[in-house]
Amino acid sequence: MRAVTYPGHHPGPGQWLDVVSGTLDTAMGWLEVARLPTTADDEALRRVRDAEELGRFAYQLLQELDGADADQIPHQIVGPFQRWVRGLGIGNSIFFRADHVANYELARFYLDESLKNVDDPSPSLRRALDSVEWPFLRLTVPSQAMGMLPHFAIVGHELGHAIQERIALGSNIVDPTALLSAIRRRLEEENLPSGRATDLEMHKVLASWIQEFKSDAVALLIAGPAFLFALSGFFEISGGSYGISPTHPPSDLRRRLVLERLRAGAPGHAEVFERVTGMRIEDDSNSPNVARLPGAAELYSELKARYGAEQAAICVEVLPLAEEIAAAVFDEAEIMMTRDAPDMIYRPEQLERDLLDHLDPLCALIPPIETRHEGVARPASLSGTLNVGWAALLTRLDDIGRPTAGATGSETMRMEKLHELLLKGVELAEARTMWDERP
Amino acid sequence: MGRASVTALSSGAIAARMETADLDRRLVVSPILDPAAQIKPGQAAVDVRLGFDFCLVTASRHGSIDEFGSENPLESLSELYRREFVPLGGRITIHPHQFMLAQTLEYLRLPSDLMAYVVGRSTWGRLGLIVATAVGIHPGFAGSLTLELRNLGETPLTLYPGQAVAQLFFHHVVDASGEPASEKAAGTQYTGTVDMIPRRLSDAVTARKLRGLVRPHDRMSTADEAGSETPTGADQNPFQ
Repeated sequence: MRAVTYPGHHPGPGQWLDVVSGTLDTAMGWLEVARLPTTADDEALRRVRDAEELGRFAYQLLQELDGADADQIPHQIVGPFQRWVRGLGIGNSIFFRADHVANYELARFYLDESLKNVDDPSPSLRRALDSVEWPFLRLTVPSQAMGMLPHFAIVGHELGHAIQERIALGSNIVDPTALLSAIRRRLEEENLPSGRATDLEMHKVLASWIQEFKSDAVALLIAGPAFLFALSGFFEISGGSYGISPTHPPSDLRRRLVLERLRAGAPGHAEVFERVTGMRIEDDSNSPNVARLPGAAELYSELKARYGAEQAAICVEVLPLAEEIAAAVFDEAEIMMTRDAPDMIYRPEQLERDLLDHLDPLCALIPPIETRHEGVARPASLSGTLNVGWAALLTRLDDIGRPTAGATGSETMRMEKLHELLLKGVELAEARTMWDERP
Repeated sequence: MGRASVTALSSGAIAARMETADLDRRLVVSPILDPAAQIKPGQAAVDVRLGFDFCLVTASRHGSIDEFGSENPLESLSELYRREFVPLGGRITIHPHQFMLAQTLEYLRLPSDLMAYVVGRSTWGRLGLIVATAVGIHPGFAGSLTLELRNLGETPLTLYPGQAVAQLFFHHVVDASGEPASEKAAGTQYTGTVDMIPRRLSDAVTARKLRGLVRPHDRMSTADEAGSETPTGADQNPFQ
């Protein structure tokens, strides 16, 4: 697997393989001890069994890497993603992979804690564990997203999870006493008990929703409208349900909150987008079939059937406060990003430049690679390409390819062409950036 | 606009066409990583670099690439190649007499009044590396160029994406009245960013006519030689 090409310029896959090799070396060391004539039979048997288990574990670790090589994930996007990781100041070891799953996912691996404590770890295992910034992160993108590059804006949300601890919230963001009283009242109406466990569950739900708001805020800050379109598109293809659960706030609310932020400012992203493309961004743009939340009684009933009365009561009662909480979260996220990663914020003026520089050329089969002003070339950013891609997809798809290919071809063919052009743009903009970084 | 003459573009003219705001007239060769080195004053070409994607010819179960003799010529074409991605900073070795496809790093889009020739750089040629055999590029082409690399020398050559391997020469295209051509090649085979692996060998009309002309006996015996499992009954032959 070391001969495989892992895209991007980051050590993640190699570090992961080092951990696997070190684990196997450790298992081999145990087998060596078992072979020694001085080792007692029962100790030898224990060593062999432990080595077998460790070997199996190493194999499982290899499987976790599945989908990370250049044949399985579009190699063009990994380098730019890595720039997002660096730009956000995420120091953890990380790799990216594609998988046949429905959801994007940021997985955290804390292998150092378990592997450091095994008997007689091999020197290679020690070295491998020491070289990793733990927890090791793995970002999975669903294979279905690979068909259209702009959907990758969701990756910003997953990376937001990696830095959510940096977004500080005051302890008085919500009054837990009042909230808990409301939840208890609802449960009492059904003659159901509530107590300390309910209190804990309420905090768990609240914390989980806040984490989602934080990640939405980070993604919005780094990707602008592209994040809203990608998020909405994700909700749409996820079945158009309410999206509300003990772990996630409702889809309808999330897209509305993001849109409100895009409309803020003079001009805000939404105004710029409309001015250049002619398309007004609405809360159901790119997600017309996502269900709007019903009244509290109906929602409670539906959630109760799915999650039980306590969780349903918590979700329903947290909901009215969610908007207020989210506003504070988005504010704090912006403060954090302005402090820690100001260059990563995708501002309305940049959106305007990107749309003006690249949208018409994209429709004329010129990918967003770079802009030249007075002979000086500036590479297109990933955020810019994602936004230009969405603008083309939502407002100019019929124009794609027209200059040379004629107006023929199905919508699917034009989408494929758009995807190809955007991938090419991302690949060559990254090449331009890497070249410029070298003295 | 004045009457255009059929001339090659100087490096200055190339740079000017790349800068023009008019998208219909803009020549795109992008990214030009080092303008001073790739568009040299006083010359008449743009140097282009080796890209990241390669297709290596592999052993095949097909006896030959036979457009009319095998059941599925497209399948045999795609099976002929193994793809290899080599990132910037990586390398790939082409061995003596080996053949592989590569792409230019640069994306190229030609306006309707320009065509181009791609020519290998002489420094590589002296080492035995042939870079391109299909050298003509038509107006309206948009995509990365596919290069056909063959090492005719006796020494393996290590290639790095980003190395300058070829040059593009541009010429005006005029219409019947001698004016700059304005019609793009609608329906051309390669438009936009496309795959390196060829999709067909003949155009639709040629393929249909030749398929009808090739004697059924020749077709069947060729298919048998290729180890095809195609039923040999004439009524089941998909190319009849």
